[in-house]
Amino acid sequence: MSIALDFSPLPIVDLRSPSFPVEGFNVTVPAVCAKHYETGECLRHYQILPVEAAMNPEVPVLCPFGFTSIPFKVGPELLAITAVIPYPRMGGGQERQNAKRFAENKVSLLSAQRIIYGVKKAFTKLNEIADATVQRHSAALHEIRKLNAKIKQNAERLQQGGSNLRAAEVAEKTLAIFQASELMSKQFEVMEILANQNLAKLPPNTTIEPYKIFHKCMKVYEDTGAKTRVKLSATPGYYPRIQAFDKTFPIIATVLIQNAKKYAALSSEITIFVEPAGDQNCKVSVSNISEGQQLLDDSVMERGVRMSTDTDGSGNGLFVAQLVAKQHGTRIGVRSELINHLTVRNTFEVVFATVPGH
Amino acid sequence: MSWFSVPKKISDLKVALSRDEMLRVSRILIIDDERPDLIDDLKKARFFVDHLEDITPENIHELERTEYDVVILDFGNVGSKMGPDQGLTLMKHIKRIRPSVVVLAYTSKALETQHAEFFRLADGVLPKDAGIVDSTERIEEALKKAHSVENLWRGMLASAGIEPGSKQDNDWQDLFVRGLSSNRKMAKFKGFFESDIGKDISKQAALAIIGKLITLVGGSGA
Repeated sequence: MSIALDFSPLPIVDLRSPSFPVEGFNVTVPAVCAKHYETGECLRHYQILPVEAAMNPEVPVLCPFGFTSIPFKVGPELLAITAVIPYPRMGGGQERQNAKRFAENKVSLLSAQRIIYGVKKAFTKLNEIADATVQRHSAALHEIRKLNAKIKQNAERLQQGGSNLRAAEVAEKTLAIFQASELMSKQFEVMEILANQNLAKLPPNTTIEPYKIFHKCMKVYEDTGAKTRVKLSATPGYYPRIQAFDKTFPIIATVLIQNAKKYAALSSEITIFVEPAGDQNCKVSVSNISEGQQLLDDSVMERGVRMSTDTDGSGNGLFVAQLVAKQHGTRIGVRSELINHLTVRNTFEVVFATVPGH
Repeated sequence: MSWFSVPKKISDLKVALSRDEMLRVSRILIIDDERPDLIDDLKKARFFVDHLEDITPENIHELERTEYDVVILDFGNVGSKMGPDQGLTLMKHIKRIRPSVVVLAYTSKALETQHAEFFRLADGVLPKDAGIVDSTERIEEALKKAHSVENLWRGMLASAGIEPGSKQDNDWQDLFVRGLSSNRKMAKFKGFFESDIGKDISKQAALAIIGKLITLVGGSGA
């Protein structure tokens, strides 16, 4: 049965598999229609409607019992508003009688057309949302599967190599497994918040040093033969602490570093800098150099927005990171500077209130 | 000699290619924008593997010129310069120009409806997170299929524009199988074949496949 049947204020029927009409949420099917339906005449009327619709789309058709149906197409579905008494009238004594008995079912043709338009819009929007949801889940799962491949295959190499492997090879493969597993955990954390945004509304439960969190996240992204370098530094002697919710705060670091790395130009450097911002705040900025990319603005923090379409990603990371930033009383801002006609420096910044005495 | 002669069929031929021989003669191409670590494992296992990050109008000759037996094809971020449907565009191209090549769909993405044909056209699927042993087994199966007489003959017919089961197909099968028993008969087959193919460049791949078949079956007409 079509989901569009749930979105009509008037009685509605699915003409591809016609049955007794579904009640509209404003107007019900007249009780007398139940008896009429048993005669089989209504079903025959619904079976003829597609033919009528093919010749004259969205034109009202009188049913054998003096009510009117208006067939219409929405996407691949063929539906009909039904059990209504339109005005201008279709004509006939039965219709006149129905109009006296079932005032609730009287509707202007113009209103009926507006309702049909509304049903179409709701159906289209629902499908777009369903498609987008499937795509985002698919993209997120794809990322996890790639990480799973690293874990599985490196574990196999360790197992097959056994004692023949040099210590350095063992260390390299073990590190690859650990890193992939950590990155997978980060993916799960992002998906957890997407599934339950209340996690990003819980109050801070501890104090942390942002420098240490960013340092820990940065280490996960180090790899041998790295095409991009990650450099973390701070104003000398500056080790601020902030109030944080320990479960979610690392997502800010993970997502900003991951995005910076993903969209960085080959052999470029990603810089993370921690510095004071006034007397009572600290600022963390994450910058990269990218090529062939558009200048970024705050819209990149919205759900489902991708910075580029030639890499994998669901467009959820920055959205979730912003939720977590709001949880910590701040927000992530983005600046883009054009260095030359192809090269852009992107900087994501977030300012935190520091805990006094640090 | 009986003048009632039963037409010979390709299915009459038996090919026994040892694993070592198969590895020696096989060529695999992986098309993936990210170089998979699996390539090193395959090379260690003595597979002959090439890798291309993408197929573009500038490097398409590498795909068309080289006789790959198996292509392991990613979906996302490949083929964008060849058409609008990424890996599906490349899949269709490969199937058109090299019908005997076995193509494995190398993705773990759930594709949109309009791209589901990527899986339908593929000869198999190699998930991105398959283990090394599993991946190797799937690739070996693909190579066996690629080197099967049925696959090569089917690919040859497609390249030559001949309908399987047609009179021409049956005639060629008969001539080819008989041709394997002597040089004179193979020359006769080649004569008919080249005359039917003509000078059409698009059908020259069919000639190459016949050459491969002769080598595979080891006929005296090679």
